Amino acid sequence: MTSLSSGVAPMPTKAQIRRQRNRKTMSVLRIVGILLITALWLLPVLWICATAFKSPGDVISLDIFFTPTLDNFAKAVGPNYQLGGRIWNSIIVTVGTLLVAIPSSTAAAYAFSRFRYPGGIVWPIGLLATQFVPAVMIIIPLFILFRSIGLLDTPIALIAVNLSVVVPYAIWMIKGFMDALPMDMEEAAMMDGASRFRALIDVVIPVAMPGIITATIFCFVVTWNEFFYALILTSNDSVTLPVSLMSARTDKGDEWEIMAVIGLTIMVPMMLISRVVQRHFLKGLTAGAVK
Amino acid sequence: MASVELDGIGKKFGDVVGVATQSMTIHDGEFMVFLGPSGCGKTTTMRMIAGLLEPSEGRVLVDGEDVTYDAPKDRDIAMVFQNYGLYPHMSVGENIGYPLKVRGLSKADRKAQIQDVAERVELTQLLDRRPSALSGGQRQRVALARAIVRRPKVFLMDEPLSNLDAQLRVSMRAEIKHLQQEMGITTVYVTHDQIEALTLADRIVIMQKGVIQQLGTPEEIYNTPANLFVANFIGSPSMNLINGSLENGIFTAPGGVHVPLKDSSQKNRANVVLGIRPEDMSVCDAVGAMISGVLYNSEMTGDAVFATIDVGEARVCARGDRHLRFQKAQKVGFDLDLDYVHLFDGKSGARL
Amino acid sequence: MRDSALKWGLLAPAILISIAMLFYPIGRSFWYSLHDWNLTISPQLGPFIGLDNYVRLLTDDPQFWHSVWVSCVFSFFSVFTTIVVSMLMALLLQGSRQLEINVRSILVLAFAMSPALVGISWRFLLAPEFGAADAVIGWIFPRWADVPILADTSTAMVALVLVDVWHWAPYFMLTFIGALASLPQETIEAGQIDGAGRFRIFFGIVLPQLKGVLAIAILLKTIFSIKMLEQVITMTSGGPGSETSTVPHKVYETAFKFYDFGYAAAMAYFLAAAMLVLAMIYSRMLFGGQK
Repeated sequence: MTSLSSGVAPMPTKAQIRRQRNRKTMSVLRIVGILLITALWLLPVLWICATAFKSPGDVISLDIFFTPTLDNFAKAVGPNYQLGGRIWNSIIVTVGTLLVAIPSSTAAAYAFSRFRYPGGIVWPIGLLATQFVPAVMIIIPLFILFRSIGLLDTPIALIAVNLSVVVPYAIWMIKGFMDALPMDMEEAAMMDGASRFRALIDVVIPVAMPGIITATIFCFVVTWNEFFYALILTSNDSVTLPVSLMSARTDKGDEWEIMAVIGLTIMVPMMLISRVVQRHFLKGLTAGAVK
Repeated sequence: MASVELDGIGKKFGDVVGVATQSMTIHDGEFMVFLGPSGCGKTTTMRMIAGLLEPSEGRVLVDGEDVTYDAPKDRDIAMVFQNYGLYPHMSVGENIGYPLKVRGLSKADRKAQIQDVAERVELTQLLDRRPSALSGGQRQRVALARAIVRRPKVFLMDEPLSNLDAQLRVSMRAEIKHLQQEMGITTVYVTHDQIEALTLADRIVIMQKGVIQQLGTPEEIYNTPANLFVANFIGSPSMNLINGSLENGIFTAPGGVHVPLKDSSQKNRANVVLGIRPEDMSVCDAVGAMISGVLYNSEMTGDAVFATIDVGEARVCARGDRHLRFQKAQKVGFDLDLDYVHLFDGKSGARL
Repeated sequence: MRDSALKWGLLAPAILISIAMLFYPIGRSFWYSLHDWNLTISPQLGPFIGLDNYVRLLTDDPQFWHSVWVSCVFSFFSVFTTIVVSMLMALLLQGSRQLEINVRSILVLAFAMSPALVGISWRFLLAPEFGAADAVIGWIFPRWADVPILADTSTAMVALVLVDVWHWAPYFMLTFIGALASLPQETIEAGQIDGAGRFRIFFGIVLPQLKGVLAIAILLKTIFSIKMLEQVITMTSGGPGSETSTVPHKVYETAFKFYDFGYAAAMAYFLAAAMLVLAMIYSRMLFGGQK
């Protein structure tokens, strides 16, 4: 602020001082708020992570400092907890679900986005509405069904049930993205001599890839974390990581350090992709809003 | 190279008529422009030729062969889209080469042809770029190159210049015309811009509300508009239209309009519209002029001065010498070049 | 139509999945609900009893009505708190500086955590004597120092609600940040020029423009809250007594603890019907005026 005529800085008015003070208070409040939020959400997670490296004695003391140990991990992969097998089950179920869900959802999303069906929008909406149905309602008949054909406690049963959760959402996410794509490109491909299917493969899918990736990440998070269906459908061979959390509750009391090891294992992939999740989530959302 | 024939073709969207039943033939090597305001059915007609839209009735023939129900890919027709329809995930070269790739040409063959076409539209330097890194004019060129690389039977262009700025539009217009004449490919071009239509076309189809209003050469369209709609739509500033009556070969209208027609054989009529283009009138003294009135506004456009006067209920504009100057509320008279007076039926709008 | 094969072919996998894994079990459940069928008595479907299960549910099951009350209390407070907290967080963290982006990445982790892990972690953190959060709470509010939070009737529900807020607030925060970012900046600038203060601008200009997003967020969170089950299983097991036994938990226990499938299916249908009615009232209220 320079005043050419006087050369002296003008005295700040009372209103200016008040505004400045207000701004300072606001920014201090802001920082305090952000710190509080960070602490509330970060510290519990950190505490769980730390617990995974504590000896049982350290777990029940509330000391912040402790001697880290890897004993819990050794114990977790041992015969009582079979962490390795649980990880493998979780990977098979997640990968299997994604391999079926994403291609079939992409195909259906394109179909719903570009073709008219008798009944119109009722079908995709109806599909989404099924997600309002309580999970317990769906699992009772499926439990009976899988029991009668001997699929209880197999990854196939889990993959099949997970599809029912993931496919409706994935169709909607990808459909939203495809609705926003201009028709020009695929029509150009058709004029260039491609069949409609070829135009889908060569043009629509590559261009819709950000949307498909968003849906894939969403499905990955849901499937990897899925607990309830797995709790009902598995008992031994096919137990996934989230269900194995329950096995830390033994007759001799809760073995929290083992729970923490399993929890850490579940969280690792989420930590790796949390920034990607945030980016894709926001991108998908703003893309929808701008349109 | 091919002729395109539309045989009683029409399109309904539900109960709404998109294009009324119509027939026309586009000759081999011809540059045909579909012109009309938005929603007139020009794009719908083009999309039926392309095969992107199935007609509700009638047939589309290319070289005498019925292609009405063929997929776009089986028609050997290329199309340039308004928003170019480039593939954002492919380089410029891959974009141009895509039609060849789909047809199963080897990579080497494709490369040679891409190079050849790129030279023709001056894109050789940009072949490795992505479309997003190009300017509007360059994108337009890529779309053109992609359309001509396989030498299609028919070329369709859907408002290809509407996204470019005015200057670029003029130069691209010349380029398109040049390319089309050089390659001799039958072309259908959709636009709402009359200048584009008049400059590019061998023949023009003017459409409104799904109905063809006139089909003819640019000269015919401009000099003998078939009805009031065409008369009003073509020309800038548009043709003056004055409601009046015809008696004993003399046209009269409120405000003292008095035009003795050259062709005195016209029947007497109560409801007639006289049309005259601004450039077919001359500014003269108000006393004794065929049309005279109080000046409403005058505009200097550089090469001319356009004077507008209030005559009765009508407002009439004439093109005058660029040195003309007027005063506020001055009385001004116009004389008409009687060779270019158009008469239309006041009710049906048809040319008399 | 030329594309007819493609039109139905693309849809086929998704249709198969939804018929087998959604529409079949939903229909089948209804059929079960008309039967008296306990798996411990007979592996085959029991006798047809018409609407008797529903009659029993509506007229003769105070425990069920207790769970309805629990669900209502939980849903109301978790929806309200989650929306308010996530909106405050969105306002604090909507910036795009490194600080905000990093904090958001941390918060996303909570959302990407398995609900089962969330429940079990907080069970650990709130455990009396060695729970870290329990210790912090006792230190800040000495009145609750000796209260076993998850085992006390007055605090178990509060804990369940707050943990649910902890789990979901980051998700809705991202939704709101996306919506805030897509608001036309001019409206806020116009407000500033017109001399409106921060709070005036938020309540008078920003909030009304967020109405649509807010409406959807409230509807979604209500449905999520009513369906919430994992944290009840892993955190409180419905206890103490049945103080936190929500309707889905009640259905789960009836089906998979007592194997009373017919009655459980009827409960599930009652829950689904209630959700449908609620969703309809909501959408009428929230979207009805905008047409």
